[in-house]
Amino acid sequence: MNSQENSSQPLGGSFRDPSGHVFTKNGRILRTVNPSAAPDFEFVRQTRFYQEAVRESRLIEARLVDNEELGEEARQAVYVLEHPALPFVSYPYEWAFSALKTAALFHLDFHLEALEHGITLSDASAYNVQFIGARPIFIDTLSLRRYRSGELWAGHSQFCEQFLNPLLLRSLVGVSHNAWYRGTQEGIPTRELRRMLPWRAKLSRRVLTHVILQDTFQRLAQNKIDAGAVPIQNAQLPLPTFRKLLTDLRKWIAKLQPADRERSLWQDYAHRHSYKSEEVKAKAAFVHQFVADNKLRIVWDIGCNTGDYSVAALQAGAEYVVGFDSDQGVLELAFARARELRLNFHPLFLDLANPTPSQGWAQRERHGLQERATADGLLALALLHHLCIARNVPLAACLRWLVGLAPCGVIEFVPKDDPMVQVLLRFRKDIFPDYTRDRFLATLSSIAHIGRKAAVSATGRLLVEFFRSPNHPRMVRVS
Amino acid sequence: MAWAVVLILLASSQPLYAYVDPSTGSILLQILLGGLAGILLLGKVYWRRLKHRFGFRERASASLDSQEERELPGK
Repeated sequence: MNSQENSSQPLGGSFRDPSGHVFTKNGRILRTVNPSAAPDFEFVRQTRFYQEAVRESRLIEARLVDNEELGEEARQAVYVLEHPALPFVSYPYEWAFSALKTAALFHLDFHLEALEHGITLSDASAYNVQFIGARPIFIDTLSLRRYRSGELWAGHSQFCEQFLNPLLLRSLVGVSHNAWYRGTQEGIPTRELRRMLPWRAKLSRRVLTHVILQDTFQRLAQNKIDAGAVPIQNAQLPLPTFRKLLTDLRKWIAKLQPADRERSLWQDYAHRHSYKSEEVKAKAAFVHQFVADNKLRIVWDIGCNTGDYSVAALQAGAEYVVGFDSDQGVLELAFARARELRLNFHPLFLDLANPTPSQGWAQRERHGLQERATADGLLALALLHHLCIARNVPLAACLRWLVGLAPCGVIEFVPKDDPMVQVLLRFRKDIFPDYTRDRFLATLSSIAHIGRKAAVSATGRLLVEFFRSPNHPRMVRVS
Repeated sequence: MAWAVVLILLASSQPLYAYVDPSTGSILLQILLGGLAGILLLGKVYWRRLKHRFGFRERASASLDSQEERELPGK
C-alpha cells in the first residue's frame, strides 16, 4: 500500500477514452489531457458554460497543475488537471430508481445547455454522473468537446442502455435495474429490453422510436445490409433535431414512475408498533453523542432505512453520510429526503449479504464496497438480526465484517425475544444458539474496544460503541 | 419502407467523432429522425405556398412561420 502511494496509479474506469486518463497519486486525483483532446479542452475551458457549470458544482472542478506533479505518466500529456476527491464514488447499479432518473435528467439538461454554447458530449456514460448527497455532478471534463455542425449524437445508444432502458425496465415491467445493471455493468441492452416489454408498451411512439426501431435498425444493419454499402460515416443530424431528441427524452423520462408502486416492506417500518418513539429518540441521541464525541466526518449508515439516524449524524456534525439499504421503497423516501432538505446524505442500494464486488476489466474498473471503505465511523442499527437470522451469517462473521469497515461505530444488538426477531423466526427452526447478548459482547470485545452501551428498549435492544483494535484487519482502500 | 427512407436520406459529408461505438442502429435511427424532420419542414413550406397560391393569406398568429419563410432561399 505504501509503495503504491508514492507512485501514480491509473484509476479503474478511465482507460477507454483516449483523450486522457485519470490517476491517483498520494490521495490526489490527476487527469491527463492528451494531444488529441487538447484543442477541444482549450475551447471548452474558456466558455461561459464551463465556468458557470464548475461554479455551480454541476461540473467537477479541474485545476491546471504542473505536468511534473504526475511524473512519468504525464510524458505524452499536454495538460495535467487536478480534480477534488468526491466524498464517495457510487455506481448506477447502487442507485435507487429516482437517483438514476435524476442522473438521466441531469445528463440531458447538461447536454442541452452545452449545445447552446457550441459544446457536445462525446459519450453518455452513466458513470460520468456522480452524486454529492442527492445532487448530481458531471465528473468527466474530457467528455465535453466542440460541437461540429450536423454531427450525430454519438452517445445515443449508450444513453439508452445506461439511463433510459433501466428506467423503462422498472416503469414498464416493474423490475428494478440494480441486479441486471451490476451484471452487465454497461446497462440494459436495448434488444433484451425489447423482448421483455408488454405489447401495450410497444404502442408508444417513444418506445417505438428508441427501443423497437433502434433495435430493428441494428438487426438490419447486422443481417441484411453489407456495412460497406451504407455510407453511415457521412450521416448528419441537424442541430434542431438533435435538440428535439434530447428535449423529447427529457419530457418522457420526467414522467417515468416505478410500476410497482405498492408499499414496500420497510417503507412504514419506522411507524410500526414495534418501534416506540422514545426508542427512536434514545437511539438518535446515542448516535448524536457518538458522532459528536469522535468528531466523525464521513459516516456510513448501514441499513439506513429512510435516514433518521443519518440525519442525526449530520446534525451532530458529520460532513457526509453514505446510507445503504436493500429496500427500494425506503431508498426512494431517503433519496427524496436528501434532495428536498439538500442533505449531504447519499442513500444507496446494497444487499449486505452480497455487497458490490470489484468488477469490470481486470476486476479493477469499478470498485467493490470494501475497496471504497472511507468511513470514519459506521452505524449498524437494527441490522444484525437481518444478517444473522434472516441470512444465516454467523454472528462473529458479521461483527468481524462490520468492524473491518470503519475504525469505530455503533452496533445495535436486537435480542431473540424482540418482536422483529420473532417475525423472522416465525416459520423456521431456531438454529441460532450463538445469537445471544453475551456472545455478541464477548465477540465484539475480542476485536474492538467497547465504549458506551445503552439499552434502548423494554425488549432489551442494546446499542454499543466499538473502537477497532489496531491489529484487526481493515478493508482495503484503493484510492 | 423506413429502410428506403434511410437510404434516400443519406447525404453530405460529416465524419463521426466518437470514441464510443455509437451503434449502427442508433445512427440509422438518427438519420431517419433527421430526415423526417426535414420532410416535415419541407411539407409545411410547400403546403403554405399552395395555400398562398389559392389566395389564403397568413394570419398574424403565424409569426414563427413567417420567420421560417424569411430564412428560405429565393424568397
